[in-house]
Amino acid sequence: MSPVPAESFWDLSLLGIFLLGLVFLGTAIWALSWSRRSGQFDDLERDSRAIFDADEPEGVVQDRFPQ
Amino acid sequence: MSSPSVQNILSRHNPLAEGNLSRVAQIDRSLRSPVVFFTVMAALWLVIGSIFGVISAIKLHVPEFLNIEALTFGRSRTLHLNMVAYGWSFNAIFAVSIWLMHRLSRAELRNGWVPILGGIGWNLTLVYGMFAIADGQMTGVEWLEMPREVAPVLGLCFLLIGLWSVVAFSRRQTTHVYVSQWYILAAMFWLPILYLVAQMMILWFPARGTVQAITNWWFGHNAIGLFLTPVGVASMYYFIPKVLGRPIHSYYLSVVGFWTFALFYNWAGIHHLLGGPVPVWLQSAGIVASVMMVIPVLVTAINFHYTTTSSQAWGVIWGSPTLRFTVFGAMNYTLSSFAGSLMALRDVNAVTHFTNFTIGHAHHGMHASLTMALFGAFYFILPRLAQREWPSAALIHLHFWLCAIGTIGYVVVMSIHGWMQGMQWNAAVMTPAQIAAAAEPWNYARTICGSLMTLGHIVFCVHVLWMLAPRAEKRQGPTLFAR
Repeated sequence: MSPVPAESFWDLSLLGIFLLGLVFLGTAIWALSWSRRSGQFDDLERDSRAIFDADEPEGVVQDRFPQ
Repeated sequence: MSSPSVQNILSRHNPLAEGNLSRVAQIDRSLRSPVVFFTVMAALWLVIGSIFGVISAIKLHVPEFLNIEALTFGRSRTLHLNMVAYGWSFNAIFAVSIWLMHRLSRAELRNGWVPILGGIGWNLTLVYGMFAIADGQMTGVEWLEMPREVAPVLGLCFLLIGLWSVVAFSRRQTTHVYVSQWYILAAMFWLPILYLVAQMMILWFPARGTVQAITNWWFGHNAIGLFLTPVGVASMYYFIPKVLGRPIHSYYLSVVGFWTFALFYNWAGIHHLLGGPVPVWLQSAGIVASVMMVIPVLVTAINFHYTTTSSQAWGVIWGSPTLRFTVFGAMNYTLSSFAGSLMALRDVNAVTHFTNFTIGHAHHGMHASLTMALFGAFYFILPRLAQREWPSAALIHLHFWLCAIGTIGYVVVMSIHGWMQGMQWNAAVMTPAQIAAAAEPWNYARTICGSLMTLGHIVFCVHVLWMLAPRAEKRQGPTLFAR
């Protein structure tokens, strides 16, 4: 692996990584904001039941050892 | 919690259930080819990778064992890591995340040939990378040992596979985003960035000095923490309440757990370089983040504990292949994560660094936690895709006990010996040759425990292939009682 001689290249790289970090942070903030706006936190009790449906309902064990 | 008999459930006749049944069945049918493909690939890589692990373990006490150039310790150990990481874990994660995301989004998979194409490319590229490692053409950068030319191909294949989880999410038929979906989406978003930055800064345009090492461990730790672990936790958050038929104890805590996980985990990797020539403020930031990881781990542990504790739950857990493996994985997720936080403390790290303690910890997280949870997921998913029961309860029991005893034995052996190693080195009383000689009985124990795990993996792989074999008997049974 050969070192890259140009100092300016690394200045640009650091800037790129810094910008990537900002994109990262911005995405996380946007996702959190979207969650609140779309009502993801409004009724957590109801949302915890999202994995159940009429086919695999709450209150019914869904897996056993084969016989 | 009610737990009706199998016969009652099998004979349940509910028009509403039947209407929805066809919908769930359609979703499962659309997922069958890609999920089965990734599962079979994962199982094969797991067996081959585990055999290389045993080979490298044997070489520690019988150095002349399989004494050929392609199987020197440096190569066989590297092959073990890359096969179980990129072969087993990634393929298994692809299978579980695609299935979970479509099930939770209530969306059928369309154009399933795309992730399969990506999977074929991914696995062929891995085969090339493994031969390159065996040939000695490795980079020497841990977790990125395959030659750098594989990176663009792996990246493209990952996009073909990972994108399908995002597509499923975008086509979701539900308004709520369940916590497992958050974890999977985040993992699919984080990994490409991690891989891109690590490849660029280490292999394509190498940074100078210790920046390479910092990037290396930022990537290495986060490949586990921000890709493998989130999907493992997503799987636990789905299967534990699902199989028990009881919602998670506190959904609020699960949301807190996700966001604190996202906030703290990505800083923690630098704890691999404590005491190294790295700015102290950076090390301190890594230590703080590692200790802060107690928050998401603790809330997850509280949630799983209170979801699974009741007078009846233990019998259900023990009687369900899915829950037996998943709960085992969840308990070890808590233990290994707390151990990781402790190992990041400077005083503890001064003993454990460069010792078997670290290797034991890595297996605690990757096998006792993640791998066992993924096994649990497959015990639920595969019968529903194949529309047939697991062929043998005895093989599931055998698989569990071989892996459980092997993995816990391995972690205990490596932790005790690792601590002794660290104390011996730090005391500077024994010579390096004496310290190496004192390791011999522990190395034998390591081989035995690794062999038990490998046997368990062979049992699992044989069972999967047996179940999927075209001429296998289509047994119906309790795993499929919801149908």
